[in-house]
Amino acid sequence: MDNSGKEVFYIVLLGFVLMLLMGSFIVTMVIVHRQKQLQNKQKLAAVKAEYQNTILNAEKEIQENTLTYVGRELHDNIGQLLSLAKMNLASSKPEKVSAGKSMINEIIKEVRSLSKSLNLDWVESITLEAFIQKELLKLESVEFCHTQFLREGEEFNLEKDKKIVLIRAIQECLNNAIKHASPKNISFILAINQNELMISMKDDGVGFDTSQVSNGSGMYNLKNRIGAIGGKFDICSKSGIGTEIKLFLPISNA
Amino acid sequence: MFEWYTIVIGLAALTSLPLLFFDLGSLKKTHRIILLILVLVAIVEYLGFYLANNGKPNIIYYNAIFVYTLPIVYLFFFLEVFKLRKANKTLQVLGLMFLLYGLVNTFFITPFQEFHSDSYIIGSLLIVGCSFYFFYSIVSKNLFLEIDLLWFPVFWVVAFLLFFYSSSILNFASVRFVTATNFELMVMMRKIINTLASIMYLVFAWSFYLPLIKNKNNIMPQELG
Repeated sequence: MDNSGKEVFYIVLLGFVLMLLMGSFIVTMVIVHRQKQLQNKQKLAAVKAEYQNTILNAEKEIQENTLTYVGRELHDNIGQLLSLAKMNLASSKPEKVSAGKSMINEIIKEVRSLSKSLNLDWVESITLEAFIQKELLKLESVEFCHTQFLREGEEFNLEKDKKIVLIRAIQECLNNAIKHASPKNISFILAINQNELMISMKDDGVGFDTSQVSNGSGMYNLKNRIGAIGGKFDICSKSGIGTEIKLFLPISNA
Repeated sequence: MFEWYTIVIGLAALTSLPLLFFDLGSLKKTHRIILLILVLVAIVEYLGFYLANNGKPNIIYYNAIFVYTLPIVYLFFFLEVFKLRKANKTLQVLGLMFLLYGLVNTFFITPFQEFHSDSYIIGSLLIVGCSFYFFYSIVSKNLFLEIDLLWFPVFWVVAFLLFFYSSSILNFASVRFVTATNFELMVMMRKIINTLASIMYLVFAWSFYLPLIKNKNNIMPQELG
């Protein structure tokens, strides 16, 4: 074998070495890809678990909220109606007895409506617009403050899980406004376009410093919950001016 | 009498043909490109064999198909696989530059009647580069994360492209060193390359049966859709 023959032999040998190297490279890539797939699976499982946890917590809090409302209604409304009905029925005057009977009918209606609110089936049937208006009506009826509601775009039918989280977020925002803000006006905007659903709640209360929001606060939890359903949470507040909270949820994700 | 190599290539092209009648979903286009490659290779190899047996020159066909057409078709295959705008532009530019070099080489450097080993090496490097980018995208860009690679035809095609071209570049590069006195070595090299190529073309043809064997819903990637 002359010199050029040797060169060719080395080149062939190098070709073989390269082939082996490429083979090992491909095997390594497959192994790395498998590991990535496994990591991705675990990550997805964690996100799913967090999502389920978020929904469960929101459901629990809505039920707690509902129980508080039911308790208050039983005490303030049904209790009063029952006392009045008892007094009327105890009277010997037929018109009083008749008024007592119609009160009993009213009480039956109230109890039925309360019992319906005890499970979460109402969440499925109610729209976001109807829920917000119902909550605002409650505030108006106790003369807590003036309210305003505006809807832009067509109402979108959200899936139950996401609706639960949004309803809980709205409840939490309203509770915060009632407890801490002392507003004169609360306004809601529900805006729906092709890509996104946006809920804005604005009050003219005392406001607060948003930089003071700690990791354990309700606002922080709200942000995480909205994030878990693929949405975004924005808050803007100024002392003495008021607070504006915006919730965004992609429609494709909704 | 045909060489075993030409028979294997013909077999690969023939066994890939029935897949035209199956629903390969998002892999339909990639299969058609691979089938085109197999048919082109089979035709050129048979033609080359026939011409060589009749003492006629066949280099121009090898230059036209193996050196210039196949790398462009492979680039088209990778365009279909990546479907990322950035990568696509780069591949298009590289393809055009390669063809431009081919024209310059043909008209000013090497006549078309001689084997264009420089262009072959450049074309092979393009294919090897694309193959590396494919694996890089899998690992770093989470491409095809939801797919089991071992049941994914594109993976086998790219793996064997990398396998074949990375080892054959050196062998083709050495063609110019081979003198008449090393005829035996040249024959041996040819046999090695032919064996590798046969395996590669068979893998090309048979890998597209994998989606039909496994439940295709699990392995059809959205990215190719």
